[in-house]
Amino acid sequence: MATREAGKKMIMLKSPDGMEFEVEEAVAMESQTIRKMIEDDCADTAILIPNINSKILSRVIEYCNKHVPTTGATGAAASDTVAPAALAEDLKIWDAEFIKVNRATRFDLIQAASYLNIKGLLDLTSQTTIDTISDNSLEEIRSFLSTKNDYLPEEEQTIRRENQWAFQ
Amino acid sequence: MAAERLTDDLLVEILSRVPVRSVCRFKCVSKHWLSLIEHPGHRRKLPQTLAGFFYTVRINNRQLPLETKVRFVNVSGKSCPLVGTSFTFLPSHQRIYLLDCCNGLLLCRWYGISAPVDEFCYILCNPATEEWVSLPDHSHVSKVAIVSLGFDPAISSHFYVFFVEQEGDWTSDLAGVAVYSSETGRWVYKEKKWNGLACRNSIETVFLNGHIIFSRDRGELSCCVTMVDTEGETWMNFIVPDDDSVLTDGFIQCSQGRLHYANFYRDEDEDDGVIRLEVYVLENYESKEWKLKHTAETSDLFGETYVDVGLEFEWFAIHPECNLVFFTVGKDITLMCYNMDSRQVQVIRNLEDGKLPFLPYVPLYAEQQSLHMHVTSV
Repeated sequence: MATREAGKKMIMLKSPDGMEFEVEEAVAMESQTIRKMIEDDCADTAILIPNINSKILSRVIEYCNKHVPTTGATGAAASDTVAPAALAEDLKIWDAEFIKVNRATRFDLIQAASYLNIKGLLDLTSQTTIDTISDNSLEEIRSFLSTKNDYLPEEEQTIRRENQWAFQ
Repeated sequence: MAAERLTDDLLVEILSRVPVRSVCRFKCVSKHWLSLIEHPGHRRKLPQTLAGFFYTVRINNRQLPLETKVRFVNVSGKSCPLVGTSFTFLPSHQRIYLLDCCNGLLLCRWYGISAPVDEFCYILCNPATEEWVSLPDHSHVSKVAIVSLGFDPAISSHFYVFFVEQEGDWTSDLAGVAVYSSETGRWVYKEKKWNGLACRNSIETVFLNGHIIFSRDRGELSCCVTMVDTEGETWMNFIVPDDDSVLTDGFIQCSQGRLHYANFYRDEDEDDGVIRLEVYVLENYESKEWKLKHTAETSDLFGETYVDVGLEFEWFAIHPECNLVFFTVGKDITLMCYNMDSRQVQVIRNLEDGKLPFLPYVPLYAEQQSLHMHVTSV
């Protein structure tokens, strides 16, 4: 949990299972959804984040904490001493570690990133999912995404024939 | 609350990030995915690929011998065309004549209902969103040899229209180019930047990396390709891999992000004079070197049937994403597709009275700001 630092405005985020997270306003504003609430003055005391449990919310905050110095306008000073390219490389390595989670957690993170409108996290989670399914067979994709094949055999043949080029 | 599956919105969010080849593969996952991908509300977010071709048919009408109609054929050959061709979303007109199609936008000549027969104006439209805009007059250009549309939504929402001008009749040299930019809303005219080379009208043009590209027949000299940028400032010529043995005018097209060139060549050394299809790809613009990508004998394409490629053959397209070549054969204009990877040929449909121009069409479902400003009223 974040600790209060002098001169930094803090925001309280609450998950539906009752956990509270105190985070810097700049970190919370990585989420465009929260940014809008703060800008519209709807965030005086605490913001309840529906649909996102404490386990996922803490991971989202972890992501925002890591990403705020380079993408947030207020954290510009932090990058003065390190070359931007090195910093970006460091973030990439961190992201790759961060996203090493099981399928259910990843889906939860996608949902959270979409609801909270955090573009970087949505890009990361979506891209990882795409990388997982892109080279897989249709059967593997169906199983990974828990989707049933509701085509009749002849229907599937027709649609496959029409999109034959994409399988080559 | 661990999610076993993703909501439809999130699936679409993910699909919007994959290349079009994957989207087409994913259509086969389930009916539900197919309906998600083809849903009108989602299409604008997802990458699209070749849906079919616009072409023209002549209407038998004694009063109006020049009357033509626009038609569309799906790439799959399905009888119900994906795109309507009545263009009822445009102001009422006697007819329209298609000139070029680029990444979902169409450039056409529009003949108003009450205007004199030969009076027209240029209209740019998107048949998928029914948006359109008319272009202001281009008083600088009198003898238009080539008309081309340049538009790449991946780079900019703005489009360019190129009118390449000739000095005199169709055997004369090019004089210069007028370029209309939707960003400035103005035409600029630039004289050509090379000397004395004859030109022949070229039907197909390509817009790639901010340049229009068209092929030119230089009479006694071999054919070449010319690239002009959107400012009309940079003119670049390079030779295509033709020699004395070519049998058609050759064909340029952009596929998989690269310029392709296709032509038929007769093997003079052999007694039976085997005719080969050769497809070349331009690996990079700096070296201007064409690399032979594919070669096939005419028997691979047409079977036992003899086809005079100079007379009974028309190039249609090379698929923008893969190694498929589309062409028409014979008097009944049979549209066929040749797969360079599997060397298989497939008949798509008979186009009967279809005639040029044949324009490959990739739909664009996203609205374009550049089509919202009606420059002149028609």
